[in-house]
Amino acid sequence: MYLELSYVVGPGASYPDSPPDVIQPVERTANGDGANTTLVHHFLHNGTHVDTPFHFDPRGAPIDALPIEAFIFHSPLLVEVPKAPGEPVTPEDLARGDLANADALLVRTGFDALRDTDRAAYRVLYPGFTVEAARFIRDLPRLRAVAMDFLSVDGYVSGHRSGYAAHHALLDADASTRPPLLLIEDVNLAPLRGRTLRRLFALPLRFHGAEAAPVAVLAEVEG
Amino acid sequence: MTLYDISMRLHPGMLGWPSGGSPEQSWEERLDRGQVSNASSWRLSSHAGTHVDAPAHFIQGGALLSEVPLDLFVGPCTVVEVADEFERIDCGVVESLALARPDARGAKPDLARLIFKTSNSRRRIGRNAFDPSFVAFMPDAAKALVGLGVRLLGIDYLSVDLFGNDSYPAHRALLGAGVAILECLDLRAVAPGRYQLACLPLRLEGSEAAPARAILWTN
Repeated sequence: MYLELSYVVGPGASYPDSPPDVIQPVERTANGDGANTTLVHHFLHNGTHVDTPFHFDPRGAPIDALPIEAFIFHSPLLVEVPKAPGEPVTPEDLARGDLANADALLVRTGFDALRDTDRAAYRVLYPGFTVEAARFIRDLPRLRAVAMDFLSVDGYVSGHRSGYAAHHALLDADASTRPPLLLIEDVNLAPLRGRTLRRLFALPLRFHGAEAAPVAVLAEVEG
Repeated sequence: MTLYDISMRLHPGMLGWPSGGSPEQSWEERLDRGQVSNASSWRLSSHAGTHVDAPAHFIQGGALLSEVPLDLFVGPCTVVEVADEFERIDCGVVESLALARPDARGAKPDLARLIFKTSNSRRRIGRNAFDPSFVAFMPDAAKALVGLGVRLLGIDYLSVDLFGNDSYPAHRALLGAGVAILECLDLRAVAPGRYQLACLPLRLEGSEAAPARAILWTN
């Protein structure tokens, strides 16, 4: 069976200091128009989205340069790493499971529970990865993507201070001998609790030349 | 696993309605302006490029896109081809495809997800210029497909309705029966047959439609 792991896109789901999304009715049957139509203003880093190397590396690939195979994962691995607000994910947290064979790593800290209950904490006190954790992830031998139940691979404060060191470690071509990864941020990993993952589909909108895209994340699970 | 990406690339100047604007990108940050990242915003119609229409597009009180169950968007799918000589899909064309014919083992075909490949794939979908002569459905064909158990119907151009019919009868017949619509598919590399489909739309809050990334695969 399949589980949808993306959040609904709406004005409430903005990354801090970023333009909020606007979903603007254009035609409405209730106003006598023939149909309902809508115009969307969407910042690519609001809501569930994927970052590509072009987000931080000027020579990195934009979203539409990646083949569709890049978004389908046959050996996804979920790791549970409970975290308190502001506490980053470290390499020691991640040393579990069959990391050597994983092509997608899904890191669940429990922050998904705060998205609706404590919006302020969810937006600015999310864990992020230490730069050491980012390097550890980047060097995993078969990994192509890392997904997480919080807003960004860099903590809100630590990212500003470090010049987004975790993003650079995961995305820059020259940061590792391994290829850059896809970063799938703000994913709802709660539905995977107690499930056995088979495959993961992360289907981004195909924006030309974009550094990121909203992504529909779909898990195929047993049962 | 053989994969087919059947989604249009979203860009300014792409194929779209003559009346509507195409997607626009604006950069909030640029590395080549000395800023910390590349970060952009996009402005686009909920009907831009490859997209899903939910019943609320035409039906007052119909399901919004965020209310359409996931099951509809993922699962077995049949792609059928209509010969180039047909300029529209009417009831006779649907009958000629013998869609309800049992398979070799006598099983009734699953038509819940059905995609039509037409001359649009060869003549129109690869061009940015809008072509009003595109192939689409007559209302009797739409009703026949509802009767065959179709729950998600796909087509290789901008609309399931022929251009110029402002009452949108095919949309109304389909959406009124709770059928979701998948429009603007790029099927140029796809042969008729049985596939698995995933066409996950952006779950836009309160919206009647949204762009989607759609793929077909065979295991």
